[in-house]
Amino acid sequence: MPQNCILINMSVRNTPPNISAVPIRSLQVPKAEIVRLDNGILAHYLPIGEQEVIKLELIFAAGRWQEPRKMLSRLTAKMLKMGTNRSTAAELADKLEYFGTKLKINDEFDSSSLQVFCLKRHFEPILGLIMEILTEANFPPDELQTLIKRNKERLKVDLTKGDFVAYRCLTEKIFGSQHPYGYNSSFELYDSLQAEDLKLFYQQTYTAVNCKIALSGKIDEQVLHLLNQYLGKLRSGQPVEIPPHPNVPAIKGEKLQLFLDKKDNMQTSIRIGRRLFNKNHPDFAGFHVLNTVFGGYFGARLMQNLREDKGYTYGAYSSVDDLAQDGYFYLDTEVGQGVKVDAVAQIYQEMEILTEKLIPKSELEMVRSYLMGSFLNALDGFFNVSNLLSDMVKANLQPDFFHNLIAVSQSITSKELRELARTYFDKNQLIEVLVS
Amino acid sequence: MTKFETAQLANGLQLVVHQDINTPLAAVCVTYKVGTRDEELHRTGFAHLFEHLMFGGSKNAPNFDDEIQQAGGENNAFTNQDFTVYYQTLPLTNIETALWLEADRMADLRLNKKSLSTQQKVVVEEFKETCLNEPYGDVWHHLSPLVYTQHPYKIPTIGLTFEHIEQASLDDVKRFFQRFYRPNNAVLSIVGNINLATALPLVEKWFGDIPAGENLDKNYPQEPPLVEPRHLRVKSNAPVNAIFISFLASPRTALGYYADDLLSDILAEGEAARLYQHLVKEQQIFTEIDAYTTENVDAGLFVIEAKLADNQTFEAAEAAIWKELEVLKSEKLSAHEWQKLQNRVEHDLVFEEISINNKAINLGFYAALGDIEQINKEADLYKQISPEFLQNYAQQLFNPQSAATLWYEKGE
Repeated sequence: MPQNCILINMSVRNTPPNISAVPIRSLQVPKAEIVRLDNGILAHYLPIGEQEVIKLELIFAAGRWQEPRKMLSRLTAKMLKMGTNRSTAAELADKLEYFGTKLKINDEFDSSSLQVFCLKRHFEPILGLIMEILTEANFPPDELQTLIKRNKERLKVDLTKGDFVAYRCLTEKIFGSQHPYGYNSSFELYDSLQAEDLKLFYQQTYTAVNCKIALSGKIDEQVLHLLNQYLGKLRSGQPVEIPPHPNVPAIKGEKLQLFLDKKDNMQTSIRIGRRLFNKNHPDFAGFHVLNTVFGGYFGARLMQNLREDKGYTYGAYSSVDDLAQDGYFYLDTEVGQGVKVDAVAQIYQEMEILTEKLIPKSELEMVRSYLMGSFLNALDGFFNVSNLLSDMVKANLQPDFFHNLIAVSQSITSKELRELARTYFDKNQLIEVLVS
Repeated sequence: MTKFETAQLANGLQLVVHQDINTPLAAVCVTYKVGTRDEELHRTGFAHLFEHLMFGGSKNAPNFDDEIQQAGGENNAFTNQDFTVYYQTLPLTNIETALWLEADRMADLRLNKKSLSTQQKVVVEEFKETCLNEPYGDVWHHLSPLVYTQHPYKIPTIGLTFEHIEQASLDDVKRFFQRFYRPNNAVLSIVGNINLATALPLVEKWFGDIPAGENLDKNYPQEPPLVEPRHLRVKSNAPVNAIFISFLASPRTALGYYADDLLSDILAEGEAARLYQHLVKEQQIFTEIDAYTTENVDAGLFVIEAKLADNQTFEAAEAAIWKELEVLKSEKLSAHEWQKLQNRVEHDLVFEEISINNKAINLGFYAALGDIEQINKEADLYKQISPEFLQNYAQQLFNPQSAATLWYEKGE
């Protein structure tokens, strides 16, 4: 029926709707208020959201950077919930979970943190339980043995996974096997620590002087009053002493091929990366844009080449991990065994193109728009904003850090990006790990 | 309470709008009522493969992702056994870009050989990455057919084998599109600072002329209850022995669905839960244990899965789990445990209402289920369950005669 055809040809969809750019000034990172508790803890708080909910995160200088012995920060953090002078691990878990929530404990490179999402009306009893953990944890040796046993079982499973093995190998190569950012957990390390070691680290680090707070949600006077009433009583303690760390090895390229002890392994895990810098480096914002172009989003060159054009992989991304004292860049993908050689060649070729040719205007515009949308998203809603606040408090960042990141993402030129690619995508400085 | 307004276009497309005045963004979600349960046994993994093809370009938008990214948006999609869901978040000022893109691919998806053959390879790699190369990744390929003999839930979403994916022809996928990707088989849900009065004309504009498809008579063969225990032992490459005990759970719209959820909480939600405390911490029979439901629309699975400690036999492990299930059947819950369950339900319902993406996906889900009002009835439905009801329900559910058990043996 010709009339129908004409109708379809004249469809309104032939003309795409106009796109309006996100105005830069609409992207304002909220500045948290700060209140000083009785014992000096600085609590950064941000009232946000409609629901009667709160997110509380307590950040302690008790991460890998601060530990005098390997694995001490992780095991200490994981053991916090395993018993106090008043409660067994089971009782503690039950008291916390009674309020429909969980206390999450994160052990990270630069800090450890206790994090909880709760309904506002449960805030006070949860504060009571957190204080019990922070003042009376007693590290029962039998609980430690169970924890270690479970962690070793998990490690056993993880070591059969190519992606896990490749990632461990890469970070160890970048930072060194004795460095806090580089060493890997092992069965021997799990056995090297006693409950007494953990207790001592706990007493030295989980104190007011080593603590910062990020608080968001339905925050009012009463919430702040309760916060002070409980956490304002945490003992002051002494600033933690940073133990001496070995130097990070000089940057140099290296290729490693590892094999898993596994029949019929159908894929190769590829990780390629290098040491970079922390957030204070002048190239940080620019590299963030370059990484986006290269492998930072679905439209990025890595994904378009390896997945959308060649079908070599389910996914290929690159990322920048920034730490307080350092940072690194890496890409990761799992590819079919038969195509690993070409996949690696394609990856280097994509890097090389960025060092030679200018990024076309249309592509750069798309990346700018995509980044604006992702900034807007990061500033929207309770979950995203409370995450952002935690990140800012952990890394001592001010809103201007993000405002600069946003400004650079909109103003950086393709020439500047090519310069960055020439500096950082040097094949002689990349570490390549393949696990088959 | 999630307030919403609904409308239906002449071509059958159902529209749901929820106004959230606190965000500059909009979440736009299209839920197609097609999933693995609509597949034929000799052509599995199709619904999921098709999800990939939906990004291959349409008549006026050769590259879906480029357009969304230019509008400052992010998008993604997922397929499960019941539905296929596409969602994007972008600045509200650009909401029409999302509507245009979704409408254009619904009206005129450009299926072509190149896109099909690339995505076939991508999905085969996904199959390898998530099922074949991941320890325990093929569990559903063993467990689902052990329980389901009639219902298509016996097919895992990724497909039974990757040969099925490799064999899909262009004609096959075109037919699939014509049958299932029609406006009368879809729900469009929108969350943002926009109401129905503003949204409807935009939706009419972009989707209004897309022709409806045939009326689909969906009649899935329902799975009869198991009448005798089923047992399967498989050898694997995995580093640790694991056990899976599964039961046929209640359909999504039955009250039993909420009982399933509460029972899985009692058994395994959090570190204070019974299975973890008794069997991992105290008796150390397992190093990990979990209990959950697959949350399907028709009767899904209630699964208890656990990894065995080194020195344990499968027989002892299975008996230890059953001992806990018997306690649940014979002893009343304490008032404390009951109140804890209520608190958890309240906590989760409040937190589920926060993210705009979540809200859009949930609205689409309930509308696709056939009763969008149910989104606001969840709290009441949970309240209809008493401790006595739960105990009776546990007695029926955890019947040794209707258990399907998988022993997943580690490699040498």
